[in-house]
Amino acid sequence: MEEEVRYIHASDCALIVSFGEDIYETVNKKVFALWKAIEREQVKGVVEVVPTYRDLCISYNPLEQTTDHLIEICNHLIKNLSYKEESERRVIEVPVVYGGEYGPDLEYIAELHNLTPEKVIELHSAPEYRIYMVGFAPGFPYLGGLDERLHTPRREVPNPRVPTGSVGIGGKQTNVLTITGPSGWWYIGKTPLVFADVNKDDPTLIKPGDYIKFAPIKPEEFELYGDENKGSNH
Amino acid sequence: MSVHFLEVLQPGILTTVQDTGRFKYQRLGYTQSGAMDDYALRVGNRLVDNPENEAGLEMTYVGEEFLILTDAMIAITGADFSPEVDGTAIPMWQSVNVEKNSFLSFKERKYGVRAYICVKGGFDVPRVLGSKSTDLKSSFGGYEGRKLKAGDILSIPKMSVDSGNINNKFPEELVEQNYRWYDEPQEIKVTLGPDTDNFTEKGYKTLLESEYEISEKLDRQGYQLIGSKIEHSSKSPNIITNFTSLGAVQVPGAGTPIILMKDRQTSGGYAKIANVISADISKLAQRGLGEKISFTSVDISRARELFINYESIVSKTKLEPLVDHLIFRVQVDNENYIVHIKEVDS
Repeated sequence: MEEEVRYIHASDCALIVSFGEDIYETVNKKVFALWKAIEREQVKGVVEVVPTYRDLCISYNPLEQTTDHLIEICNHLIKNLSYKEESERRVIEVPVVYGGEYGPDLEYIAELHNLTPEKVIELHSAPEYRIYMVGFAPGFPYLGGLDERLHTPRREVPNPRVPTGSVGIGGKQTNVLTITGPSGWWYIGKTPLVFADVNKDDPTLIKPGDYIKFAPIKPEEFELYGDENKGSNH
Repeated sequence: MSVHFLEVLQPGILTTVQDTGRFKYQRLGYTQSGAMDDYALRVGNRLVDNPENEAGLEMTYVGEEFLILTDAMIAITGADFSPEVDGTAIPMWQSVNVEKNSFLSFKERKYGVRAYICVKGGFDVPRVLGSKSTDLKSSFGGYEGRKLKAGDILSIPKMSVDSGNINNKFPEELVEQNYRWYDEPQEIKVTLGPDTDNFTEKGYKTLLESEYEISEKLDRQGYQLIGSKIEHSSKSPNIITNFTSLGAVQVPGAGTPIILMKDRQTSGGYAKIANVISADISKLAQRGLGEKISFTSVDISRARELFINYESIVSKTKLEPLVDHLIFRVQVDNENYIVHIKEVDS
């Protein structure tokens, strides 16, 4: 069943186009299709377009664009959207050292779910995770598709300092921490890849709509990634 | 080619290089940044004949002490921290020529919390992701991605020093209006929503009828308010994480609102009851710790009218040239006066 598109004013210069009430891949794909269409059409007065789980948020300059006209344009674009546009699936392989000092919570997660650490690694590194959105911090991916057997309630007391590059589980989600900071997630591994670097043409390793595939590596391989690819704390 | 413009002798609390912000990277998680009081920065730039979006220095609560290293034209706008050159007061909201080897300092805070220094030619720092603004959280942009400290030397393009200067001022009545904004309890206008379903009617009544105080949790990311708790509906106070807009009034489970400002996270999961209108963001940016604000609601079309009016004041207000008269600070019967003297035909 097609859910109706809703337009909601976030502010006097930001419009939310909402495609659904919950997190579904089909809904997220619609968000992305409209995002691409708006970029392609170079809609006048649009300052910034931010795709999230189920909403496309369009910031505009009210001197150059009215909300009514913007809604008209979106309606028109939505009618002609092709949801097959995501034909090129970009999969980013992310090497991860699981367990030990790299992933101090691996043992706990295994015990909690009555699995071996090896099984946790296998389950975690099997899927291609869709990046539903990027937010919170530069290059921080919101991933969907974590195996149900690994769903884990967040920590009651957040860990005050988790290093950049840590790969974690929280609730029904998994992610890569792209800045060092406090976190309520459980960290089972660490990647040497840098997810955000403003000095590169692409200032983030991943983009909304990409897929991530975690690839287990050995601790000694971690060091093989050159300094420029190594996780840094800015 | 650039030339050294000033050296920080005595740093303030938080002084950063900011332009009008970083756009188009929010979808990758990069925060907007930019001057909290966009009005003051843009007018300051106009006064020194810069593009409105050029970078200036944003000082918070107190000024710094600087040694001027080359002749330059500056304008100081925003909060009144009593600027002085070599110990003599200089006017704000107008372009002022400063000479090499003079000292620029600030005596005391009178109104507002953020003051801006703009300089003709603009501060010569690299543009990162399209902007000169400092991103404090990710430590890039501006001057080495951080706040200024003693010994820092900032440069300006060499051209700006050689070109002819026409000094301008911003009209007196608008300057006075700004100080009323900075100094009086404020009614901040908001549009309602976007997450109206997450709040009860009573919750909305609380927001619009209570007075809130700005807590000590205030920074460039946002203002945590103290005051009456806002009632959520049976829906959770959390939403599916989405975009955060400038001025969003989000209400976490605890019930007291947080207003999101320029350095906010790019996405958030708390329900947003309202959004400060674009025309009132600069006003709010000049409110500080312990000050009171209240909210009044307008619809989107009214907010748009107010935005158009705001933009026209910032961008279109005719600047008054200072070439045809002289300003004297005089004392009569022990009272200080500023006198503008202009020659007229007899």
